[in-house]
Amino acid sequence: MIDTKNKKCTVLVVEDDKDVRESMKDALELEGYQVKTASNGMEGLATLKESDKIPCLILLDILMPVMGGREFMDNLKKDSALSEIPVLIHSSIANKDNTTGSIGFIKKPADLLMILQTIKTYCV
Amino acid sequence: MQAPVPLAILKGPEYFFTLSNLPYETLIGRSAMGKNLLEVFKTEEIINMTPHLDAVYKTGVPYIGKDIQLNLANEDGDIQYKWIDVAYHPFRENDEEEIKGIFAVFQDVTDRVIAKRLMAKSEEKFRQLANTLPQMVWTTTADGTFDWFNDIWFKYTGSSRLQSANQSWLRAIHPEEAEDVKTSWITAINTGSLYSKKIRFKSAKSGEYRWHMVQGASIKNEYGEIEKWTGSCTDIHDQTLIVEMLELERDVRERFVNALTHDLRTPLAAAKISAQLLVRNMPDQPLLVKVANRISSNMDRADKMIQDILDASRIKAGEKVSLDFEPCELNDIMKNTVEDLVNIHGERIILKDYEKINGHWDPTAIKRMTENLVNNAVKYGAPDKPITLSLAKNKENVEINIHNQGNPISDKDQKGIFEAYHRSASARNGIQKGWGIGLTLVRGFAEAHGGHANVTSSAKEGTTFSIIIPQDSRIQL
Repeated sequence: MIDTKNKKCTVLVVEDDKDVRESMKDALELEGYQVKTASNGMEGLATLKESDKIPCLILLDILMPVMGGREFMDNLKKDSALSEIPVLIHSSIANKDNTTGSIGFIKKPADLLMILQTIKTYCV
Repeated sequence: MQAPVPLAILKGPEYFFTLSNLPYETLIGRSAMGKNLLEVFKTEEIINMTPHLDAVYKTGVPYIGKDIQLNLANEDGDIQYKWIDVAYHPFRENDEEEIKGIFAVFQDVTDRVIAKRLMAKSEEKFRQLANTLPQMVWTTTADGTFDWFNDIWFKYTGSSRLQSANQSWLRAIHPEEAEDVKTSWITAINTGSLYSKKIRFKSAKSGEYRWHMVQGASIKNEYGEIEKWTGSCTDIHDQTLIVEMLELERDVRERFVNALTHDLRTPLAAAKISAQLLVRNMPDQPLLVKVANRISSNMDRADKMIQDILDASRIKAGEKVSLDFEPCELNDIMKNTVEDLVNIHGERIILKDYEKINGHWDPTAIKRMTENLVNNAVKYGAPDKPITLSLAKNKENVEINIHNQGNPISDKDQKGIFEAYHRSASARNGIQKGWGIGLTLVRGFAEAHGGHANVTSSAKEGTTFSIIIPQDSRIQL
C-alpha cells in the first residue's frame, strides 16, 4: 500500500458514474488523500472556484452530461489560477487525440494500483 | 506577278485569262494564261462556275462561294477531286463603270472538306452506336454547348427534339444541383480535364429525380485543341440509395457500439476498482483476496470481449483499427504471450526458438492476434497434441505461424474464414462456443499492420494460421 496516510493532498474526481466516483473516492481516501468529487465538468469548475485550496490533481472522465471532460479542460486552461493543475483522464473512450492537454490517460476498466501510482507521482 | 494566293483575271464575255498566277495554275493543274475559259476547261468541268461568273459579269455583284467541288481531269484523264473557296469580283479598268471581266481569288480547301466529311461520317457512326447504348449519351461543341443527345435522353427526360440541347439539359437537372453543375462544367471546359459528377435528372415517366453518374471527356484535334466533348449519364440511383442506407446503418451501428462499450465499461470500472480496493485493504484474508481477484480478472475478460466486439465491428464496416506502432522485438512479444497462454492451456503451447527480430509494430495487437489463433487451436485442434508457434522472416516481412493437428478445415470453409461472424461447419457443429469474430480481428489487425493473414489446412499437415506483416508497419505502401 502506498504510504500517504499523513499527506493532505487534495484530488478532485470529476466522474458522472456514481459507483466509479464513490469507489475512487474511497480508494483515494484510504490512501490518505483529501477527495472532492463532482458529477460533471460544470460541477467540477464550480467546486474548483469555491475551494480555497487548489487540488494536486484532477481525475477526469470524458463523456459526462452537462459538461464533458474536453470542455472542462478547455475552461480550465482559460483560467490562469487553474490551468496548471495536472489532469489525468480516466475514461473508456480515451485516446491520444481526445486527451491532449492532460498528463495522460488511463482506460476504464483500469487497475486501481496503476491509477494510484500515477496519482502519487503528482501528489507527493 | 506572283502571289501565294491563287489569282486570275478573266476578261471579256469569253473570259480570257489575262492573269493566271502559278498557285492558280498549280491548283487547276494546267496552264491558263492567254487562253479563254473554254480552252482551259471542258464545259462539264466548269458547269457550276460559269453561272456565277456570268452573274458577276452582268450585275457587278461579287460572288463568294464556299466548299465548291472542282472535278478536273489530269493529263492521263483521271479525275482529280478538289474543293475550293472562290471570290469573284467585277474587274474594271481606269475607274471606268464598265465591267471588263472578273477578278477571281481562290483557296484550296480540299483537306478541310475531306476532314469535315470524315468527321461527319465518324460522328454519324458514333451516334448510331450511342443510340444502341442503355445510357444517355451527349456531345457538346468545344465551348461546352450541348449539341446532341441520343434517343435514350429524349425518352428519359421527355424533352422535345425541337428544344435546344442546352435547354433540354438544364431543364432535366435537379434545381439543387444546377449551379454546382454549371460551375464544375465551366471548370472542366477551361482545364480540358475529365468531367465526372453525380447529378440528379428528372424522369419524365415517374417524375422522380434519379441519380446519374455523368462522365465527359474532350476530343482533341492533332494540335491538341478541344474540338468536342462527349459523355454519358449512367443511372446509379438504386446503388446510391443502397450506399446511403448502408452508410446510415454503419453510422447508427458505430454510435450504438461506441455507446454500448462506454456504458458497459463504466460499471466494469466501478466493480474492478471496488474488488481491488478489497484486496488492498484486507490482504490478510486469503479467501476474500482470492474471490476479489477472481472478480477483477473476470472484469478484464469482459472488457476484452467488449474490445473485440468494438474492433470486429469496425473491421466488418471496412475501417482500419487504430494501432500504435512502436519499436519492439518479436520474440519478446511472443515469449510474453506464450507465458500467459501456458498458464491457461498448459505446456502444449510451444514457441520455437528464433533469432531476434526487431521492428515497428503494435505489441498489444500482435499479442491479441496470437492469443486468438492459439485459443482457436485449443478449441478446434486435436486436444492432446502440441500447438506450435514459430516465426519466420524474409527481406520485407515477418511471419508468425500457429500450427495444430486435428480435423482439417475444408477448402470451402477456408474461403470465408476471416469474415466477421463466420463460423465454419465444424465450428458450428462442434461443442465449442464462439462468436466468429476472432479471425476477423486477426485479419483486421494484420491488415492494419500493412500485412495479411492466411490459413492452410490438410489432414496430413494439420492446420497452420499465418500472420504476415511488414518489418516496419509504419511504412505501408
